[in-house]
Amino acid sequence: MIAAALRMVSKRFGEAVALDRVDFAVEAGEVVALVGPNGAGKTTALAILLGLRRPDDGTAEVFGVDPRQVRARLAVGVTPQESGFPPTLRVREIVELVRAHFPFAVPTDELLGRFRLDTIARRQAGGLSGGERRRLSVALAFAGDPAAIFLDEPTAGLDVESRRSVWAEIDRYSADGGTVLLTTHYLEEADHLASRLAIVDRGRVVAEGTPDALKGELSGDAIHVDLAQVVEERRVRAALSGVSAIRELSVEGAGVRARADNGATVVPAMITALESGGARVASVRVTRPSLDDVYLRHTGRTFSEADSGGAR
Amino acid sequence: MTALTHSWYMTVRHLRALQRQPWWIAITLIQPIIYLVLYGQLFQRVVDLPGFEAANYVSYVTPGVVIMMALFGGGWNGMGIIFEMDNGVMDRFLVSPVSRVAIVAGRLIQMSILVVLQASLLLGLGLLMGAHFDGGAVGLLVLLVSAVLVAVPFGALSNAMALVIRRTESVIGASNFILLPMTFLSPVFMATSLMPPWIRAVARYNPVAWSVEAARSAMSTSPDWRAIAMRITLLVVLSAFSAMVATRAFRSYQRSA
Repeated sequence: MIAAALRMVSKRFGEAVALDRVDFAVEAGEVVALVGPNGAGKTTALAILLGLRRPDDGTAEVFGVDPRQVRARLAVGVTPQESGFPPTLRVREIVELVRAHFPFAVPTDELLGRFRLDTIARRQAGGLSGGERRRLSVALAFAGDPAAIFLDEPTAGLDVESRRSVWAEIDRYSADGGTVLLTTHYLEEADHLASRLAIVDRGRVVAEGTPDALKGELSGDAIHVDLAQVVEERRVRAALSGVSAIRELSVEGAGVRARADNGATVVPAMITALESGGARVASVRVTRPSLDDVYLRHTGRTFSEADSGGAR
Repeated sequence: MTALTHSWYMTVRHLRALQRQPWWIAITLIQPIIYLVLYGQLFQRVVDLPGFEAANYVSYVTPGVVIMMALFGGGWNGMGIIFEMDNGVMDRFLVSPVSRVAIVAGRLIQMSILVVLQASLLLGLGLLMGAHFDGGAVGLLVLLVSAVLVAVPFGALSNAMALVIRRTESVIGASNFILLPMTFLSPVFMATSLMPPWIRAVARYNPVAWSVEAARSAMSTSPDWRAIAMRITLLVVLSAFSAMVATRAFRSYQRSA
């Protein structure tokens, strides 16, 4: 059964294209992560699935109906990107208010305990820290014991301990058969939680698959070389042109990233070639393929570079 | 049924929010007292004008100030919606199964409760200042109903305006532009018979005037129940129409997203 789907959805904000013919679906029981840097279009995709925005083209559906229908809203618990709460309501009152609108809600005390909100249950929302607001916002997604939860950057701004406890709740919910659609720009989070990823870049889904399958497309190791100073890209490429074992190469500032089978054996040749070409090597690391490598392969940019250049 | 239940949840949340802002409660209650004392003193000699229909200006102006406060309470109600749109609270409710009607209705019910509290306070103060209300309990009840029936349509229209315009400054400007003229183009402070003819003509179509006239008549020694019923009916129709406009504005807000 399809829990949520975008069918050839496009959305523009003025001249900016937020989504460009996005077509993807989430099966009931899956944990799907929309991964991409800030401004990639993840939040817009989620906002359309929540009925907060309308697509310019294409359609959205949640459990077979328009996301704005009550049936869809009863089936989905949500953590929006902005954690907006009535500022003078207490944490417990907000939980009770949200619970009241669902027929089979989780008991208030149980929910407060699971998200470590019991100690702040009497505090007014206006006085909560950013992390506390986020924990409350995530807890509210689970309040109605819905069939699916949509989480927009659920752990943004959380400390490590809180992040792990949110992950544990998502794992538990998923193990009980719940459907999860989340957006994140933490690759580690997507790798840990998701059974399937959709990598979003500049409003398009550029790759889709299980984390292992996506990483499996990249054979060989990633070799990361940090140069002591920035060297022109063409000089780096010229220096490494003689190292035949290198299959892919990218240069960003003082960082050089190469892919090769059996990376450790290629490193000495790379260092020699770079030093001979006038580029001093500061450090070298060899890693197994990561989601960052997957992102680089599909977008031509490293994730951190794309994330810092995000517009929305 | 769902809309009613959800409206009650929303009303309770607004009442709780209000209860946690003692300074706001104080200002909301003290402001009408200041108006009543000021206007009661400033215009007390108006009753000496030939043709003025009351012997005691405080008796005359108290229902007027009650209605004026209801009008202003309703007229500014949309500011809360803008705050909630700007702070993500609105989206929080839009993604939940909350009835859309309840989002606006909860605000209007809370506001109506506040209007009744303000009116009760003003009536008590009016009595202390020497006012006489001849209509008894029924007259007072008609005043409260009239006040709520001014607050509700203007509150609904204010919410509709906020949902369409979505800018604090624009809503403040539009509210100021509408509310003060509506007050002065009605017999809130001055007897209709002493108004310039053109204002008297405009006042015939002013809901604030319908409300004040219905309340004053019901609080007099000889109420004109036919005229009262007619004006209350007009206010009910206006309330229903305004609620429809607010509902459409909500749809337009969601369509434009």
